Amino acid sequence: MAMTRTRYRKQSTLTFLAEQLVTVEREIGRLHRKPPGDAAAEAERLRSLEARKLALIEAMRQFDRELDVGAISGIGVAGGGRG
Amino acid sequence: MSDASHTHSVVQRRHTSPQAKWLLNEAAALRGELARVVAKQARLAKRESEIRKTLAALELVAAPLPVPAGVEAPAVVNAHNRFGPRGHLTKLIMDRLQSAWPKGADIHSLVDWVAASCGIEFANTAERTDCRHSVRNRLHHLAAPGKVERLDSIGSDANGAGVWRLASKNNVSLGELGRLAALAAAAESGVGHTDEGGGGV
Repeated sequence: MAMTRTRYRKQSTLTFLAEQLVTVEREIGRLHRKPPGDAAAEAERLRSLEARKLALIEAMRQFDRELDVGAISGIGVAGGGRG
Repeated sequence: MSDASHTHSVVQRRHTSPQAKWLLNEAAALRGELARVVAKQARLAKRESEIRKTLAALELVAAPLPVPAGVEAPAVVNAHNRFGPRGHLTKLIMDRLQSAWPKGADIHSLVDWVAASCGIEFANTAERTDCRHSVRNRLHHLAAPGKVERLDSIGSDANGAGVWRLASKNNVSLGELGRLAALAAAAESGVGHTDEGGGGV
């Protein structure tokens, strides 16, 4: 029973992290494509997103050090992901 | 000829004082221990930096997630990872007992197996004892739901150590066999008695 709960937590956490990574990647892409506006605020937001992206990748590596995280985020950006 | 070889060996022999032997050996042993300690320090420092990095990442990811009011997440849990990921020690023990079945495996061989599988090298007896306690505790936890069983008779070739075996529905201990035999004998005598009684009707 405990094992089942643990597996369920791991699965849903990994899905959550992957979705978050796709969202962050999209926002980074949007910021890069956006015409220049408030440069300081955008740079700050970009730094925050990059830090979050690194944190998400590091968290995902807890599941599997060999996980190809680039493939997940790449699919999300190029193919539109799940949403 | 024997005289010649004897003379030769006497000439070859070099005397080293016991003090020098003791001091040189002790210094060499300390150098070995120092090398181990330095290597361990380097490994620990590397691991510390990895842990700090991963912890910061997890905290950053978890920070915006809502947690219901009144729920306090545990700040520190002393999770055991000496034997690999969670559940790995159980898996190793069950694998070993599975391969030994229908025979059992004594605790010393289980400790050796776990240590070899996890790449653990015991620096002293205390470390080995510590590992044996972990294996023994895990066996007792597995015995509670009936997954493994400790054999009643202590294995003579196990040097007095407890012998454990994978429990199966088909496994019957000697004590259980005796009880079953007594039940069968009682049932047989009961049937015979009934038959005799039936014969009277």
